[in-house]
Amino acid sequence: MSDEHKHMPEGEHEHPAHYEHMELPAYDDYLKAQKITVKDIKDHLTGPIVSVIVHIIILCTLPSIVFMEHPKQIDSIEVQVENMEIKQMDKIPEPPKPPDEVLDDLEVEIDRPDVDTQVNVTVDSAASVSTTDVDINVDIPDLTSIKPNNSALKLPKIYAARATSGGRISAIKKYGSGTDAKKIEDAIEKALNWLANNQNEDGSWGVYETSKYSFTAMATLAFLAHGDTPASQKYGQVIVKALKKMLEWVDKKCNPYITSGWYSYDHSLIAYTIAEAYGITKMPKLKDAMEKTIRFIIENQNKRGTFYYGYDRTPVIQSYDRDPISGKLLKGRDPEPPSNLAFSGWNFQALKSAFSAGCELPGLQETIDKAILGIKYHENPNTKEGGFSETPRGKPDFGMTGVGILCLGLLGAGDSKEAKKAMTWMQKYNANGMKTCAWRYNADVHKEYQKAFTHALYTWYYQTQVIFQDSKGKGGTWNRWNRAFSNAYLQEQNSDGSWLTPAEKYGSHLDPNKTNAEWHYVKEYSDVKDLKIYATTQNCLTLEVYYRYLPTYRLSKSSEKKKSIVDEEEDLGLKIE
Amino acid sequence: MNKTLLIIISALFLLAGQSVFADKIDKEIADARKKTGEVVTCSPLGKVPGTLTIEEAAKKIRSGMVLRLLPGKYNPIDNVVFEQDRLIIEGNNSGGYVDLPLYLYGKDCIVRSINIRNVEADSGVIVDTLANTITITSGTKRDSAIIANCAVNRLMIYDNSQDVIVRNTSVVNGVQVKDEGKVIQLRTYTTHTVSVYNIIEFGKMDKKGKITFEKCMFFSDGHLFGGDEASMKLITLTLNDNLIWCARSLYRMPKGKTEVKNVDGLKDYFGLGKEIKNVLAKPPLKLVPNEDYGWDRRPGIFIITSGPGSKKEYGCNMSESAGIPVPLKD
Repeated sequence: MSDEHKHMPEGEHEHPAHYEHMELPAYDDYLKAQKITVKDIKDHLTGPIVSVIVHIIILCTLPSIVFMEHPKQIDSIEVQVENMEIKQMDKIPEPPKPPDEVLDDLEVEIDRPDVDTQVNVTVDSAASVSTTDVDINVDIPDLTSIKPNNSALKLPKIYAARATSGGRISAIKKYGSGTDAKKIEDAIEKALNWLANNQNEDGSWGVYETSKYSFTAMATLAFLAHGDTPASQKYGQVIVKALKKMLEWVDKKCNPYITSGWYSYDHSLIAYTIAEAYGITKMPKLKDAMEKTIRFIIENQNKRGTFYYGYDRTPVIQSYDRDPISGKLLKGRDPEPPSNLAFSGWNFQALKSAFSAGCELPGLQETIDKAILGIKYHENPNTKEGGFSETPRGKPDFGMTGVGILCLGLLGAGDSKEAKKAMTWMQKYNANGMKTCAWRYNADVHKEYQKAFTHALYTWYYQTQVIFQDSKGKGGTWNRWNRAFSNAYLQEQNSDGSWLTPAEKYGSHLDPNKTNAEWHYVKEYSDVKDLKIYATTQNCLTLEVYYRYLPTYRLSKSSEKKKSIVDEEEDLGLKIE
Repeated sequence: MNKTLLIIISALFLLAGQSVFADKIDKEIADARKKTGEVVTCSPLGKVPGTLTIEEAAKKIRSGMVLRLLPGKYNPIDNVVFEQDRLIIEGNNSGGYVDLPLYLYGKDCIVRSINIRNVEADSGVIVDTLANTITITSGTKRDSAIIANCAVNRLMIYDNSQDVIVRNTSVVNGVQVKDEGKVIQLRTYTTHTVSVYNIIEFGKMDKKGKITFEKCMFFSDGHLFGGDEASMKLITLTLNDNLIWCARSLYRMPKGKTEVKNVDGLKDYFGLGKEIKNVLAKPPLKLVPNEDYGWDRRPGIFIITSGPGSKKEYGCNMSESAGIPVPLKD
């Protein structure tokens, strides 16, 4: 996840130096302001005038006070005393309890959920992974012309490569640049086993309440990406429990959206996962849940086509939108809504997934069209260079550029000039990072991009998808990165099948602020198990790139350069249907 | 003898005059609390039967009417600005959070009994209100605004030609809700360990203005006041009996200047009015959380539980049960 907390949009009064850019009043204006005005005269003379008038009145009435008759003196006073009954108080009030003071640091006690550790799934690689070549067509389908799948009887073609172990092995062999396909598939199996063994009894994943929603969605995605479904022999029950839990959340917690805290990605990730699961299974309950979650996303897109934490979309009137003297919104100004590309990215993927699954909600297609404009809204202000940033008009970075390119591709604008420029920008500025998967601190990589270390797994997830889709799994750029990341991921996997994030594993020598990496920027979330769940789901999804093809949405009305696509795919030996 | 008598009588009269002025403000506040009008009720997307969307309400409402905002996330795609005069904006007495930035550009509006994201008003009375930010803009002929018994995280005042009175209001920043209602310092998750911001900001000015703070409670982990230095000289700032604590300076001074640590030091930046004693101390606070917090709204507001101010003499009268400041009963 991103470090959005460091990039909070400026509230209209929160810019530390916004008035430093305001023009100072001219000296003449200042002198003019110092001149005595009618208002000043009113302010200064009203009091004395009123005072003088009242004094006159009082002086006129003084004689009557002086010569007034004194009241007659009373010589005797009669006092009557009655006896009163005095009751004892029932109870002396207790002193108030001491207050809860605001302390600099307070310890927080958090209930930890029971984790089901009884059911162990063992790795049986010989049984689960066939190493023999299987004649399965694992060619990347035409991802630019995927049609919504409405059939409950037929598994969509894009899921074919992942449906069997033979298919998966074949895909890895085909796009794995000579890497050992069995080792990669074994690593994924081990990771899925670890996830299965660490699923909570209620079907969720995660130790903390604030991590459960996102982790459950991501872990389920990892199983679905592996071709597993509720019907799978090995992981079917794991998926069923997870889907049940997510359906429960959609039913009970989606008011109006699912969230465990302000910076949460919960709603978008659950919407994405449920849409993906519906696309595969066509279970009616999943359809209802998909529509409920996707409808909220459609209804809360901002006017630029993007999203912001908490789905806030009301434009913010910044100091530069205001008249500096009256403070009111200047005529003709159109304040911008808050916008975050990291947050938007998961919502875009949810929308695309819903479309691919056959979601027919009104407004879905318009929302996707607008989303393309939204991604472009985050393009580097230096449009000659390109690249995308987390907030509009910000400095581009590799993680966000990956999000931008991937989502443009998924939404049908992969051939836009913005996507192409961004890819060129990545290759120019992240040359080292695209051939070296640096788990340990590496000056060549990290001098170019600090977050490559602290947000490594997030960045590599997007980078891997982007390079794979851009190159269609072929060519020098893909081969270099593929070898680098797959070897590193295999090497860094723990013996139990899990991973830890690079910054947590190797970053202890760095500034704690910089090692506060990935999603867990909140101190109390530095639970090793939660970190492992995050890293393991993210890495699984990255390694599954060989057979988890992400289809591209494209409206039929969009201008589609069929010929160029045909030419390109013929060069790659892919078939167009 | 006669001369002495006259001096005494004059002094008594002046004190009486001040009391009359105070009564006038009290009356305006009391009137704002009870004023009535035809009611238009709003809910998010107008989903509650019999209510309007905020956009529909902006078209329908007329000057002098009451706009009742039900709690919830309004999330309008564009800002809704009310230009009508003498509007009365209120919550539904539940203390529920109205997630909406409210812009009132008409004159003499009233905002009362509401827990809302932001309020921005030109003139009139804002009372018994909990908000992240209250902004007073300038530009109408009446040029006066009263903020009373409110709890906010930040005040922004464009004081040009204005006469602004802030009374019994808590302006508190610098703390954040953690799990189970406990709190930690704000912004410890970022590279800043403490906020450097000020909690009361003044806009640029080209005419004089007056601001009076009475019986307020200020709590900042950064600075207290801030604004354009050249404009600040046009403000006559009066601080009457407030409880003040800020970690840094009473004025966010320009680079190279020393921090202002007492009220008297503010005279280098403001035209200071006559002050009555102010207490500079850190009050112990208790959180009244706002669960639906976010980047544009602070997580909660605090009430003083002991020490200076605990007998309700400073800041708002925050009700834990109502979730908003309520009038202090005599």
